[in-house]
Amino acid sequence: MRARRARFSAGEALVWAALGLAGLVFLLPLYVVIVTALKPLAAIVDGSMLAPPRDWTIAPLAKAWSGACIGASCEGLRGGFLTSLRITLPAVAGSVAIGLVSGYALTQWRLPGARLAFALVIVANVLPYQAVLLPVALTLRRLGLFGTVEGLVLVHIAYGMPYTVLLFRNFFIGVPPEIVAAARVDGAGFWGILIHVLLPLSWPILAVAVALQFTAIWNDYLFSLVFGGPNPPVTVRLNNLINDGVGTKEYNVNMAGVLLVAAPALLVYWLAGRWFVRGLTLGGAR
Amino acid sequence: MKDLSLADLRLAYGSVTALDGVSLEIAPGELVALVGPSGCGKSSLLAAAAGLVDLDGGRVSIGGRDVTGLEPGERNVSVVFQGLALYPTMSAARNVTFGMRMRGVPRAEAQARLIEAARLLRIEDILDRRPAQLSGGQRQRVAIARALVRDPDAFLFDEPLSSLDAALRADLRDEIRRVHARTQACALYVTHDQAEAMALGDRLAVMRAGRILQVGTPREVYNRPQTAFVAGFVGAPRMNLVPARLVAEAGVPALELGDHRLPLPGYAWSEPPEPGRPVVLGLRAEDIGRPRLGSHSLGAMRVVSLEPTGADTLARLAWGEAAIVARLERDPGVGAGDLVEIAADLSRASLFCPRTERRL
Repeated sequence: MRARRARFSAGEALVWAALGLAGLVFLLPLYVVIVTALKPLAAIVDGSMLAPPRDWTIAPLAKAWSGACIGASCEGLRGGFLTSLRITLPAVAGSVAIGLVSGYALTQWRLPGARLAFALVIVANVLPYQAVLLPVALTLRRLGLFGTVEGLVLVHIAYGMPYTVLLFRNFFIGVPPEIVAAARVDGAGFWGILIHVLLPLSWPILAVAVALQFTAIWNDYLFSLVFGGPNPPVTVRLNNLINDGVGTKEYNVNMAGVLLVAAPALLVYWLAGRWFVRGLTLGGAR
Repeated sequence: MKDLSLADLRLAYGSVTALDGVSLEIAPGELVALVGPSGCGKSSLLAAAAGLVDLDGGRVSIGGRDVTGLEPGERNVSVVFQGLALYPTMSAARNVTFGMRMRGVPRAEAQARLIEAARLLRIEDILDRRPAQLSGGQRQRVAIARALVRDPDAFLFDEPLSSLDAALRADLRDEIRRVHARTQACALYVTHDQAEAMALGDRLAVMRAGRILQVGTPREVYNRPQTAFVAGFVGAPRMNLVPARLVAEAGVPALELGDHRLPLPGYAWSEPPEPGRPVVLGLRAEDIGRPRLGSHSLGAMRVVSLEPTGADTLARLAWGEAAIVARLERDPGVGAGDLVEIAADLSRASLFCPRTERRL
């Protein structure tokens, strides 16, 4: 039997058209951001928003990075990057590590109160952040962490954890319990099983967890705004940069700022992409 | 050379009782096959012996040492699981040596044991493959090798062959017999396949609803089942169970079945026969057939259907109200609908109380 030649039917053409259109709609803003960030200001004022730059320049990027004025200080977004990294890296590591260990403990070990703990995780996942701002503020103040990097790390770990626990729980529940039983008979303990047997299986879901947590924490605005203090993360500074009321609007610098702030999360997605799709289906992610 | 002793084990999952006071002794070098329908608690019993579940009561000892509170890894037992229990990210060799790595066995010794086990199970050529690259039979060989390198005090097999096809199952059954005979460790072999249990077990333990109903050599259990359930569960086709009534005929106990009276002069009663009481008569298919010397006529019966097994023919017969199965010769020369004269070897009969299901 010969394989049937692939041919476009009318239905398939429609699907492709719809996909192409959707792709266009999603990519157009990114395109506008990129081309605007690479144009001199004059070209924006005179020309079309969609037109590619005639005179390429990276001056707006440089200015957004280190020269743009936010309020009285003209140091660009650079400082915010450092703050954001100091918050995001430990918070991602913390929330992913907690999710990994909890998801494993909830599925492969019999723990007293496991059902209640899991129910709380579900509840925590549907909790709106706005509802917890005040209690979190009071807690941070009491801990002496209000307005600090450490405070935001703690908040992001706490609010990232419900999702990572769910993600890893859904992944580990698919691991046959016989594997863990065999490892116990072989003399491996709680950590030995996790490190030697399950972790090597978990790269896809780890990639998903890291990518999602990095994006969520890096891009966070609400917690950063409220708890960011005098040296806030980059998202807050970007907003301040764009909404700065004084002088001409430097659209190219603003767009360059957007591009710089969006870049790390895009990079992480790209790096995690190899495992990402497989991990999404494994973990039953939203 | 150690024994495995399970004493009065109790285990419940919420309101479901998995083990209801189970005791079993396995002598050094002995293989006990544990059979029962799914959900009877046989896998729970194995998990209890391995230390994979926390018991609600009872004691597990190996070679006289109480191991009840010990982790699975501290008991020096090996478990071969049904399937899927190889570490998926490790090569076959790493799967076999993982336990030795965890226990800190020196590398050179681990390597030597790996090579010996690999040779014994003929898996030398596949040691660098991952489980996903192995066939079902190869995977099970690797799992047996993993169990073997530990040199355990007790082998625990949890339905190790049930995911394999029939031919492979027979091969690996021999493999397990060979490996076990070499090690002389005691072994508990859990299966739902009574034929496998009969073939492998030095003794057979039949379980139902969290209890062991009978323990004995395969022959004992087959010939003298202690309950109607065991009678029906062990042996294929199932033992024929026919309701009857106990009477006395000229001082000799006999069975009344419709118009028939079947004398039971040689029956080994476990309690004095009580004329008039209802009983269940159990007869194996091979004890029913054409009349021959020493058998007792059951009269003419209608053949309902025939099922050739190759070596012989199973005939479904209508006996009054009851339907029974008889094992006839290879070419019985009868067809469905024919009337045939049938007789039974009553010296092989089993009798059960219809209420308690116990052997009389």
